[in-house]
Amino acid sequence: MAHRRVLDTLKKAIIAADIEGVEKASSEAVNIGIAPALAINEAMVQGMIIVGQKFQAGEYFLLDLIAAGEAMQEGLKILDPHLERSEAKIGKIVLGTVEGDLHSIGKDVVKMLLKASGFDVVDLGEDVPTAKFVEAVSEHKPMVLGMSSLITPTMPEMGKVIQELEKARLRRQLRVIVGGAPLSREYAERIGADAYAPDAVAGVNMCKDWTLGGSHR
Amino acid sequence: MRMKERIMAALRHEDPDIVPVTVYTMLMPRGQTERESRDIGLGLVEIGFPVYGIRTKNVRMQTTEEFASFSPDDRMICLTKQKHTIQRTFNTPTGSVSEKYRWGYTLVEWPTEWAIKDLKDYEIAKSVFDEMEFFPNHEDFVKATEVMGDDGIVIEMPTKSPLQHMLLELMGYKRFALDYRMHRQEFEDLYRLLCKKQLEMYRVIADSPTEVVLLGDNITGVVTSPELFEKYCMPFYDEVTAILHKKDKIVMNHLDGKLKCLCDLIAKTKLDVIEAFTPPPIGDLDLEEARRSWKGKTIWANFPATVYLETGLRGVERETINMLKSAAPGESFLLGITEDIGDILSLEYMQILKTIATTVMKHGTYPIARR
Repeated sequence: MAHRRVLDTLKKAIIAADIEGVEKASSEAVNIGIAPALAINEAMVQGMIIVGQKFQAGEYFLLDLIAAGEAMQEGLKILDPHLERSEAKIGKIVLGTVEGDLHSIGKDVVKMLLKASGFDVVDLGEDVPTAKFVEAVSEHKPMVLGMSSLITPTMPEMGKVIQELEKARLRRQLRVIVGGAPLSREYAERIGADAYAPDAVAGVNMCKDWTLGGSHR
Repeated sequence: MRMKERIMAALRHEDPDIVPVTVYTMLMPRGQTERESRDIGLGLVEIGFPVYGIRTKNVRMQTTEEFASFSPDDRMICLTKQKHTIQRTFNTPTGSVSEKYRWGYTLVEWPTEWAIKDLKDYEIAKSVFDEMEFFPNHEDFVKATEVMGDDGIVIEMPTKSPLQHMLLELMGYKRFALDYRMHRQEFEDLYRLLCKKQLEMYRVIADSPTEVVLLGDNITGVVTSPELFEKYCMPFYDEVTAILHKKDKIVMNHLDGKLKCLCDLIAKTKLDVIEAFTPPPIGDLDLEEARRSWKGKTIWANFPATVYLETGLRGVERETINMLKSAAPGESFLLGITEDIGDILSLEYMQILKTIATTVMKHGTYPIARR
């Protein structure tokens, strides 16, 4: 009974982006012996799913998503030391904003939601040259490569990365997802991406479908 | 009509001969193509000459710049691959804060490190703003207006309004999101001080020669939610417009993001012009709906930058005609290039500008026939 109550409190605190509440409930979960993996999956991840749904319904905005993600990170700091090391991530994803573009907000929100969903995320940052994307795919062998662009003249960089991945024979082993305000599904198709994410939550859902649905390459 | 007259007519809800089509001077390469573009009817908008200066008694600003290009002033040369960074440190009797910027794609500074990184930075930032005194500084503005002549307009664009200034330039979105929830007192104190100081600044601007004032707020409803917009932006806009309208200034705001969720609230503001309004596929509100919703306001629409990439020059022509038809008969409407639509040093960029301008000259005679 106490376990259920604490998990509910933790989930509600995530939804409310209440950092102090998340810290308190996470500590209580540890103290009363709730398995950290259970607290993460049953409370935090479920809370973040609701946050994502509220975002897509227009009830929450980007800053609410960020605050909820930060609240979860604070909770993870408490739970993580108690986590069984054998618990594997569900997949690896490389992310970056393309060369010439210094925007980070969209990419950072995707990263936060991916981590909350259990992915291992390699964030290459902003203004990432094509060669660095190729190098990271070769080194980390991710299931998905995510690229972001918010400035129209930098959009063709995404196509260049895909071409270079093909040249390096790395393209077939992974999915490529692209996002950013000026992009469209048609443009994504034209440059050879596998998917276009109209927003962060939709993008993360696609990654989950590919990995958990077993349709990854 | 000459271009300046045409622009001012549209801004004042008078009848222009043709819908004005403009580009920011910073998005216009200098030289022969610039002259040709002016000659075919592309108007210029200059926003780089403030009508006020700022002085402080006890704050010292130290600037460090790093360049990768051979010439610090030749920003166009090092446009896409540049690594030009600027660090500013503000030293005050209560301590120091520093911020770091990089020159972005469109020759604007892009923050990579914000002044407020910690709770203690609020007090230091407040002491910087508290010390600011604004004074008239018209000389460069007047000179720029003379140089512009009838080819366009020179307008005053001061700093972003307090909430957007905090979000985009002082704190960054992550700190903003957290402090708004967890440290509301510090957040509100800084916000109130910024409002007070900016209203002092607007009183100086009100007495200046500029006819038009552009708030460069870069608002998108995805980030600045209706709640934030209504609680913080709208009351501030009311105060600013009250000050500026008393001196017959036209007040514009650069609202270039997704505005559907803010549409009704924007209608309630006393802003005269919604500048940089960007229809789909980049924005999420179509031009006809915006025109219906914002009656009494002028729309200075931005040409959606992705059209060229998606559909080429023919698509640019089609979309220009489409925008003109959407705005028919075309009163209180201008078309502008206010965001990046390509590499401004490339030939194709000039072709895009020329295509938009020549299409407007051909199809934008007022009144435009409805579809």
